[in-house]
Amino acid sequence: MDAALLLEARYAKPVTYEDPVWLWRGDSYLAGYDENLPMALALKGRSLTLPKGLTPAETPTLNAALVGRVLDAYHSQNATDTRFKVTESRLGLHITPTQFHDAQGQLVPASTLLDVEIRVPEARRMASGHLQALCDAVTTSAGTSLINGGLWFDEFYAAGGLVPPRFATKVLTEKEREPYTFVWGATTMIARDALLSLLDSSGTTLSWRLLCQPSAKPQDRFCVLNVVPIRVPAIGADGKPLLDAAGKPQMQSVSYDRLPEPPKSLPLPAPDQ
Amino acid sequence: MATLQNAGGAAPPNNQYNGRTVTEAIADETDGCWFSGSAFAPASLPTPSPPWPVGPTSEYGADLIGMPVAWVRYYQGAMSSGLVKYSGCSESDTQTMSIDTCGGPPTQYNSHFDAVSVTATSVSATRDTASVSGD
Repeated sequence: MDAALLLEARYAKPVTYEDPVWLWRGDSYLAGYDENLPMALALKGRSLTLPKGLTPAETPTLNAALVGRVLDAYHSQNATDTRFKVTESRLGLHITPTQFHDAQGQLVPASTLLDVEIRVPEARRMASGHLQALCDAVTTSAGTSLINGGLWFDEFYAAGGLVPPRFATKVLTEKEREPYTFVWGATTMIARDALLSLLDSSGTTLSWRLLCQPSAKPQDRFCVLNVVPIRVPAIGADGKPLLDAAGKPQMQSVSYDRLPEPPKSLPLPAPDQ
Repeated sequence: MATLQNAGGAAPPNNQYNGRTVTEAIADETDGCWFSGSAFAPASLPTPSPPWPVGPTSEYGADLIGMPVAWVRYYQGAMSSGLVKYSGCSESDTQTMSIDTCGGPPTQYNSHFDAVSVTATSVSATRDTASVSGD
């Protein structure tokens, strides 16, 4: 997952990452008080020494072959661990598991929650409402909870070039929310394709991380679909990277890169006099 | 809904700022709840905001602070289970407010420190000295 983040930051191109739903106890360790309680297990750390040449100066184009080199290095350094593949879409590159451990620890073909087939009824909603409907459809279809982790999704999405106020679903009436809504739905299709379709109209290029929480009891397992902007190093007025207090590069989100002009916000109705 | 105030906190007369725009920029955003292995990605607000039009009674938008419920519940669960070793955490940023100057460049008129603090059983949102809490 860290490699996907690093490549996104260096090339400003989406590299999505997906966990499988973790089944094998050997993939995790007890981090909490009681392994039979929810959220007590943590995924074991993995290590990766990146191959050389993963910068735009050395390799100008980020493509499936380049990500494949990273995955090859990962597999050779973590021979008994989950295996991954890279695919390409109109959005960018996608790292998904091909093999993972079943409950007995055997490597078997893998899938993720975004591989399930879903149907989202076509309706007029805000972007976050569509994403929530997609997550609900996956939860129903897969039987494992998919939590919508799209923080500030409406604000980054900027449907129709308009950015709603934060927590619009709480502070605006249905009529006031209308300008920020649009019609979308997914006829029966793989959830990943439905997500790609939803992100087609976003004003910001968005990527995703599907991260899953291991747990001893199957009913306590869940995944979070983080739909996030690409984070790149912030550049100062002098053209040099900005550093934080610890001397690390400051990161900033790429927002509204797909809009032909800056996004707008609508005036709120005046309060009653 | 947020409203502009004149220096000293007085309510401006109607229409004093009508038609002008207010913009918010976020800096120093820190997600102190995030941990390596978190199922949530680190929080990141879009910045700057689009210009918010100011209305006749100086209202300019529902400028709320806080974090989504699912995010709060996740970190509360991580604290309850012992998955994380901290007993409290916060997400914070500095919010700088600017207003356009009738054709000139926007001018900064205020800046706030915002934070959302979470424990296993409570959550509170703070802007400067004002705060609201719940569970």
